[in-house]
Amino acid sequence: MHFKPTIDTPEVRFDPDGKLLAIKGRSLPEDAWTFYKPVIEWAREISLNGKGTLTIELFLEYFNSSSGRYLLELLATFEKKGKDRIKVIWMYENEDELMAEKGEEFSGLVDLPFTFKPA
Amino acid sequence: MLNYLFPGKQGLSTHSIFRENAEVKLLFAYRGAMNEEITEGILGISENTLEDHTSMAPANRKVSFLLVECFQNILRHRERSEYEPTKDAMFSFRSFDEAFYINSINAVAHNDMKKLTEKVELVNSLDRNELKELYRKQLSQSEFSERGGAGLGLIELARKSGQPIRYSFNSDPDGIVEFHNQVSFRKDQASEQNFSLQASKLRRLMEKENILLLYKGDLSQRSIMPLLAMAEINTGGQKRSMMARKVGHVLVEMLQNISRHASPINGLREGVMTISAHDDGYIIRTGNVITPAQMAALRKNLQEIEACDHQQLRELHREKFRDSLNREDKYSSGLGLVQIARDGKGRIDYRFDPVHNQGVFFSLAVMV
Repeated sequence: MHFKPTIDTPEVRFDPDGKLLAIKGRSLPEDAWTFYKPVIEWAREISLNGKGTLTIELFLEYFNSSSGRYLLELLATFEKKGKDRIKVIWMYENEDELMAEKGEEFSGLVDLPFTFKPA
Repeated sequence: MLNYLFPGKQGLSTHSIFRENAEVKLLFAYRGAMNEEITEGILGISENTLEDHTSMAPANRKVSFLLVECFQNILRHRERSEYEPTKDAMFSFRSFDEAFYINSINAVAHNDMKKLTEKVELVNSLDRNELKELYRKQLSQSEFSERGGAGLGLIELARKSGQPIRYSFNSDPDGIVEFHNQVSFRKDQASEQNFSLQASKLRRLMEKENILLLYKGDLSQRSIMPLLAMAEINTGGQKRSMMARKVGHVLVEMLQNISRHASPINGLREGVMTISAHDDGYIIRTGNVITPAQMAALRKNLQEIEACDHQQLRELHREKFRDSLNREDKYSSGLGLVQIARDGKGRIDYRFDPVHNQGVFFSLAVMV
């Protein structure tokens, strides 16, 4: 799975070898559901059995409230698959307190291990 | 306590802008940072609107050319101006009755008035063919003025617009001479209006209220992105600062709120937006028409936010964020307003004013 970034949607990249799901850039679509639906459906379907740990790397410059909702749903979908097999890296630009704070809010709402990484 | 809806006490509110420009499909007025980066945003906004008016569509390229030329005229003057650019220049355009008007105001040196008058009068006196001839002549002789503008810009403006350039000079009490000009583009049957006075008045109000950017028009996603880019440039300087990010977060949320919920007027989701600079931060104001039923729901939502202190706001956001997982409506998160308050300085000012036959005008203002 690979969605290229656009002016208002982030890059979404799944690297099966590296066991990495990366979402990076701006997430400001007017219709966030249509954008995130295939990602969430994909997350529901993939099996993590016997594949080690999947890293979810989120590095967002902006996201609107409806994108936030579906990013949370995406994380909640993975939470159901087992927190032992997932780790989340929340990246933000150095000094971007707002984005750090938003990451903390996510980590408080899903039971997944979060690492915060200023870039 | 500063009311974010009326921070400048000049009575220029999103509602007054909406009311006084009811017939104007698009109004953009700008007195923020003047640099090349802004040109792209200006084109973005104008193109989106022009595409929506099919009758103007064939003129798109010409109008884009006029916009760039007029804006760069200000940039060229600014480079050699001894005056603070944000104090003196304003660039504005509006689409009205199948015609497009660009009004620019910038400071010029007292000594330049005569030369400038002669140049404008000359191009105004020539017909199409004469202008073409003059253009060729200027080009071959490379008679570039000291300013690097060559006068070619002015000739091209007159050629592409097909209308005389309206102009005037005003001296303000500080002895600064302002050059006002209006360049228009219209379909043949539309009569030309003179917006110079309106532009002048608007600029005075914007200066008093320190408004950097004012917009009235369609707020679909295509218009929001160029506005975001311009807001970032104006609140972050060259390097994108954290302030610019915060403004960006709040602005997108406020504008998308309009694009989702505004009652369509002539098929467009119209809204008004201003960004102004203040000692403690930036104030973003938006306004749009909604239905009375929407007002009731909004009021409830806003009162809940109003009752919260900083910590309670965080908790309210968290609670609504969690609840969004179970929301049936896939296209709205129910989070927008709480997020706006939280990402701003924690307070939202708002009001509802009845609009004749249209519903309710909803004004919203936040400081970041």
